Amino acid sequence: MGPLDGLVYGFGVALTPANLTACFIGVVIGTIVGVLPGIGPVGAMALLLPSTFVLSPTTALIMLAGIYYGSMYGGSTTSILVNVPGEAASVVTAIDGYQMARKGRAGAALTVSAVGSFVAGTLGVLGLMLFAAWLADAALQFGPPEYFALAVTGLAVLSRLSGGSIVVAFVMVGLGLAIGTVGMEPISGVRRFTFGSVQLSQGLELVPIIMGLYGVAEVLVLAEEGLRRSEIARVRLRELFPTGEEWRRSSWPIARGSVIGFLAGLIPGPATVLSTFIAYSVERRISKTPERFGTGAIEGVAGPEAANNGATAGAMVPLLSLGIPFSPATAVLLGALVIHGIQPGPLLMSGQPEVFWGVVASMYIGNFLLLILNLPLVGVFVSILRTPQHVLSTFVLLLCLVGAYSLSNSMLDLWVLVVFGLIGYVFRKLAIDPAPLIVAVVLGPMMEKTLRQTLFMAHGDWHLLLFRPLSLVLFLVGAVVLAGPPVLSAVRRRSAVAVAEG
Amino acid sequence: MSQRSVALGFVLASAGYLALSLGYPFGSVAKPGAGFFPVAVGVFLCAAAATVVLVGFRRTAAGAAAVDADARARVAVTTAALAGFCLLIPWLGYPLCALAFVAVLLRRLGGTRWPRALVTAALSAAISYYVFAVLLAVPLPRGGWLD
Repeated sequence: MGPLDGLVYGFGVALTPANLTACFIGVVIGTIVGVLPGIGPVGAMALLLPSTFVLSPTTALIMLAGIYYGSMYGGSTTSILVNVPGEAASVVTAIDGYQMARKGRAGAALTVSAVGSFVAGTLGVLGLMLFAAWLADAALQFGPPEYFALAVTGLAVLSRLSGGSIVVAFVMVGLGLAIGTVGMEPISGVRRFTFGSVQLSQGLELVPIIMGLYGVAEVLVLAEEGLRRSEIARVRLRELFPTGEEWRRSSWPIARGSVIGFLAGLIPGPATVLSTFIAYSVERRISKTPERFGTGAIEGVAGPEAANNGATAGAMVPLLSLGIPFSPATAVLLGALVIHGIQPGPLLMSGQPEVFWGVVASMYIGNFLLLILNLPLVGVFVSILRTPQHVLSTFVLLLCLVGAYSLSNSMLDLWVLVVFGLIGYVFRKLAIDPAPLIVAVVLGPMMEKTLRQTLFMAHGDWHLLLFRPLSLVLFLVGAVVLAGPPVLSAVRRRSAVAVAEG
Repeated sequence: MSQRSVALGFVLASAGYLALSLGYPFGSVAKPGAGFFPVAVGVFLCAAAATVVLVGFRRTAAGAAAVDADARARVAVTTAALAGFCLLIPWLGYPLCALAFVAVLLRRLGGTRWPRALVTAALSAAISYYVFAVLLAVPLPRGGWLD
């Protein structure tokens, strides 16, 4: 099935009443999650995953994907109106967006942000459609060595980009891989690290770990911070229209942000956040009036807001074409697919076209729904911020508990949730990003399987693992990403010393 | 919790994991056994954790900010409520545990008055039980005392 036929087929799937409703619910929840500071898309998707058990796999994935990209729309609203980013991916938007609000241009900033998100989301889905199809075809040639190399390189890049110390990121990767080894080993059936527990033989569920690290940990941080009230700017409908000059200034930043976001989404790491910083610095660098940035430049809203939406589409490419998630959000989507009995990977497109093309088409529909929902209803979404923090926190925790239990009706999942909640709280206090841990939990079993398959195939000869052309390229990319920055800074230091010494 | 104690925690966890990994059949490079990958992960983890102890890790201003006694108490209450929920649910069942959990947190985190906290808690326990146990057919524990 070619991309055009696939898309037509996908619209047939996505436009059924059940899928349309799931898409609508997903994007509305996503917007609310984006508006509310603290509860991110990853926690919300994990939280709502158990409620999708009664849905078909396609409908479930359409709803969860809607939450993911919908949260990028909602995040900008609070950044612009309250200077409180609902999402990490909207931190940059607050710089100029809030300044615009102070100058009475909040409506214009919101409109440009929504239109930019729509354009980037739509272009991103177009890229996903074309790129994922090509990558899935190419991936059919991948063997165990290539998959192992891809996972190792992905984790290396993620460790480099996840912020903070790279050594701590390595510890997170190691912990994630270690967690992935708990349970019955698939080749010889040996039970590892189960301490005699039958429940542990199945391994640790990913979803309670994510709910704990993101949902429970966030609520504990909010509990520590105490009650918080925000002053919210009012926006009238007639103020929502940008001037001709504002449109002119926004159009190219939206186009550039879309491309930057999509490309950043393909790379392992916090793509939605990273892409906004890149887009912002690109806009400031190429601007003829860089001094306007930070004082309410609309380019500083348009570029980053387009970028974070483009990144959500880009991040879906490795998930849907290779079955490899490179971020916690796509790890939840992978978990949803597996729970629903779907094996993601290069055969997804041909084996379950309704899932692949249904989700792709639903993303077009979802982006359109978000555009028409977000602008007229901005006041409604912002009013959610008036919900007292402690009420929201309490209900989030209750949903986490009941959601974790309902995954497999197991008390073990409840304890995993609480323990990882506390671990996540400690990580937050020490500014440790748990993303490498989550991705390593998902990739660990695949890494072990492909490593052992490769060594079996090669009778223990490491050459097969290291020197197949694609593996070699991937390992080299990983090595450059890891070693490049320290080598470059050492070279710079040396040349600075040489210059100073004359 | 200090940076150093977390770093030492990493080392202890890594060493424990490696020690347990050595108990599984390692096999050989040509025929890796069930312990092959865990040992490799354990060695990597120990090396990374030891490096963290030696070089430390970056800490942000937010992480370093002092926490007052009230804030610590709110975190402690939330943690205790979570642990209490997990401990008591097999005996008390979901509806009662959810009621107590919501009421305690509304009261302690936001200062909601007891009557209002209890009514909100009863409603949320009933609604969440209906949604998950009845609509989604999740067999939530009803409690040993009802059986």
